[in-house]
Amino acid sequence: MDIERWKSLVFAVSDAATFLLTRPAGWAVLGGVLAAGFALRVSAALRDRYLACEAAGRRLGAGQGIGLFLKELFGSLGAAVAVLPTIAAVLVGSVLLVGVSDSVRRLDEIAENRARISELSAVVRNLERRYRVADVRVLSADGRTAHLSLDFYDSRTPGKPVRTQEVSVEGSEVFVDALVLDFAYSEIESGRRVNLALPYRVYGNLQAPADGQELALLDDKGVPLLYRRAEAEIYGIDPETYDARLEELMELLEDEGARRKAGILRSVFGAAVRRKARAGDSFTVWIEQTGGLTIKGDGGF
Amino acid sequence: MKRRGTGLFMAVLLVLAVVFLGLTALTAVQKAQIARLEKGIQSLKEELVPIRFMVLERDKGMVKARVRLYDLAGNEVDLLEMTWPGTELSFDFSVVPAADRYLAFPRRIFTDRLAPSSGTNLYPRYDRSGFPAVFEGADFGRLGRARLTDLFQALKEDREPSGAFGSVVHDIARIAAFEPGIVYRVVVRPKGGIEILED
Repeated sequence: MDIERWKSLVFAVSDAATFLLTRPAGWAVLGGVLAAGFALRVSAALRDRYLACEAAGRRLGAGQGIGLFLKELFGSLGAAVAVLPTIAAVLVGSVLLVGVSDSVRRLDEIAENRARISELSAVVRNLERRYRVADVRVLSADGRTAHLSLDFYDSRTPGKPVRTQEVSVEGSEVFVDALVLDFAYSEIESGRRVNLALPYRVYGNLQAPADGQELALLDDKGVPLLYRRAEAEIYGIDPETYDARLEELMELLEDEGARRKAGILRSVFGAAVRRKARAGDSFTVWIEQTGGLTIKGDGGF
Repeated sequence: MKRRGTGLFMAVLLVLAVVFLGLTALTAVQKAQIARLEKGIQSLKEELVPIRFMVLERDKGMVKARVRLYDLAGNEVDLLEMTWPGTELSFDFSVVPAADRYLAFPRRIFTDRLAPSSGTNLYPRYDRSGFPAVFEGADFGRLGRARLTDLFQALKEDREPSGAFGSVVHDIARIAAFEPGIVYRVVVRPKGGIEILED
């Protein structure tokens, strides 16, 4: 018998003991069983006496019957006193069994809680995570034009930029614009996916976004260059599968029907972060796993 | 002998009681931690909706939309219906860190064909004697309201407080365009991110 079966057996006996000894319904059941036993004993004694009287040609009188009842009552009480040590042992055993069983249950609960805590902690970690999208350095700015250097990052290799580009924008404020894919919370929480930001344009406050500087970050198949890797950079997946998955993702992006059917994307939209451009300043653009773009922890301004 | 047995039983009972109490205390601590984590997850996913909008039509390079501004209690603060040149609608916010979360002040609306500086300024639309009405509906206290008023004044004067940044959300015509007739909501997350969801 494995440990789980033993545990079920111990739990069942413990539950029965707890029910019988601590619940009014249990007391009623115990009382009922004792009363039934006593009734059987009295009725058997009365029947024997009745048959004996009938054999002797006499009638069993009421006084005789009451006397017999009292005799059986005292006899039963005497028998109960005689087995008192046994009853005490059973009670003690029950208390110990209930104690052990409740402790085992608590241990099981602790193990379940530990698993739940670790699961929830992972969810919090995954939701609190943010990934570096781009580092922006303002090389020069005169209020009319700003010259910038942008380093782009891929969430899979956050340590080093995958591409660097220099651009100029018109105005005193810089907008770094990206296509943002926010996945369903269930996907983020489980760590299956991370929200993505694909920067595609930079513009200033004095120019229409359409006149901004396009970032050459898509290849001829429409796949962001940030996610195109050399064979040596891909681990645990063959390059063809990797490329196929990327193309699948881009198809998903361009087909709203497929996107809805897949049900994994919470929202797809454009998002830009804005900062005043001052020569020498720098800031970092992040994609938050709770949704959207932010600028945090920069060294400038 | 009998006294020894009773003593042993009492000792076993005591050990069992201590173990059980210890385990019960541990489960209580764990339950509190689980409740804390669940609350943390809920607050991370919390959303504030300062803007709902609907594109009414796109025609001849113009986009017409109805935009409603809301306060924290969900009451409508302002309604504007306008036509802008362009096809992609952008909602610009000033995002300011405050305590353990971020506050988003709707700043302006522009399009892909309209420079941000020429966009529709939203600040005057919810300026109620200097207080940003989009933050009505919550109890900030007198001091909190005064700080929000000061913050709003700074933003109106184009002075961005430390840690503040601008955040723009918009549609992308060839990938994810706002469908005319569908209501969208602009959602502000506690960690400062802003996104657009279909209502």
